[in-house]
Amino acid sequence: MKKLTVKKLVTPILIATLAVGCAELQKPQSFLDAEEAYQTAANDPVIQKYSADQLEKANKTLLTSATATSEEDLASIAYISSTQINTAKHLASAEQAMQNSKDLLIKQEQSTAAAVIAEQAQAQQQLLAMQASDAEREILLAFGKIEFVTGTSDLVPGAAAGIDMLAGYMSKFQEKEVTIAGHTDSSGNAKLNKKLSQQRADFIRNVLVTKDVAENRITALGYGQSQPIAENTTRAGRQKNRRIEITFK
Amino acid sequence: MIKKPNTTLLIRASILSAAVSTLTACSIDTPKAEIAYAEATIHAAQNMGANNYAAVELERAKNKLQQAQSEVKEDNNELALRLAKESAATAELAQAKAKDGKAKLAESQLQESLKIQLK
Repeated sequence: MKKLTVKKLVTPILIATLAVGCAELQKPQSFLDAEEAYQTAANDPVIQKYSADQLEKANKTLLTSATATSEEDLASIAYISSTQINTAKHLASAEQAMQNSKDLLIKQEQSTAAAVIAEQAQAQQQLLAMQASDAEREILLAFGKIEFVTGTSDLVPGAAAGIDMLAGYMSKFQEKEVTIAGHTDSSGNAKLNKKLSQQRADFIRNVLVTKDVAENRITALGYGQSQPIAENTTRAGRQKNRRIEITFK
Repeated sequence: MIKKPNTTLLIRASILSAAVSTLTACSIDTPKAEIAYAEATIHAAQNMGANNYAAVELERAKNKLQQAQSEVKEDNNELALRLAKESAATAELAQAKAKDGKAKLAESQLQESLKIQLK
C-alpha cells in the first residue's frame, strides 16, 4: 500500500513538470513583436472600420500560442499573425482608397449636375432676354402707329393692337415695369396739351390694368408739348411730336 | 489475476497509453487540405495581379509551399503543416497588397482625370 502511494504521487508530479515545461516555453522576440503589432493595429480606426474581420484572424492565431508545444511553433504563429496583421492593414487601405474614389465620383457628379443646371438656367435667361427684346421692339413699332381721336384720349378704331401686345408682354415678363409717356405737338394750349397727354397715357394704363397688369408696374406720364422730337412748323414734324413713348425697366 | 488486476499494473498501463497518445499527437496526418488551400490562395493572388504589386510576398508564399510539399515527402508533417499555413497567410497578404495597389492607382488616376476636367 505504501508503494502505491508513492506511485500515485509520482504521476501528478510528472504531469506538473510537463505542464511547467510548456508554460516556460520561451516566447521569441518575433512573437512579442507580433503581439505589439496587433495592439497597434487594433487601435487603428481605418482597420477598425474596414478590416476588423481580418484582424480578428490574427488575434485567433496569436491565441493558438496557448497550445504551442515548441519554440518553432511559436515562431510560426508569430510569422502567421504578423502577416495577417499586415494583410489587415492593406485590406483597410484598399477599402479606404475605394471609398475615396467613390466619394470623388459622387462629388464630380454633383458638381457636373450643378454646372449643367447653371448652364441651363443661363441659356434660359438668355433666351428670355432675347424674346423680351424682340417683343419690346415689336411693341415700340406698334406704338408708333397708335393714333388718338383728335382732342380726346380715346383711341382711333383699330389702334389697339399695340396695347394688346404690351399687355401680353407684361404678363409674360412679370418682373418688367413699363413707363408710358404721352407727348403732343405745340398746337393749342400748352396746359391743355399736358393734360391731354396725361389722359392718353392714363388711358393706356387703364387698358393694361383691365387686362390684369398690376398697377404698380405701370407709370403713366403726360409731358404735353415740352419734349418735341421734331419741328412743330411742318405737318410731318408735328405728327412725329404727337406720340406715346414706351420704356421698359 | 485477470479478473482482479492489481492497481500498479493499471497505473502503468495508463501511463503507457498517455505516452503513446502524446507520441501519436506528434505524428499528424499529411496536411493535404492546408497545402491545397495555400496553392489555391497563391493562384488567386496571381490572378489579382500580385505579380506586379506583391512580387516578394508571392515568391515567399511559393517557397513556403514548395518546402511544405518536400517536408511531406520526408514525413515531417508537423513542419509541413506550419509551412503550408505560413504560405497561405503570405499569399493572402499578397492578395491584399495587390488589391491595395490597384485601389490606390485607381484613386490617383481618378484624381488626375478630375483635375484635367477642372482645367
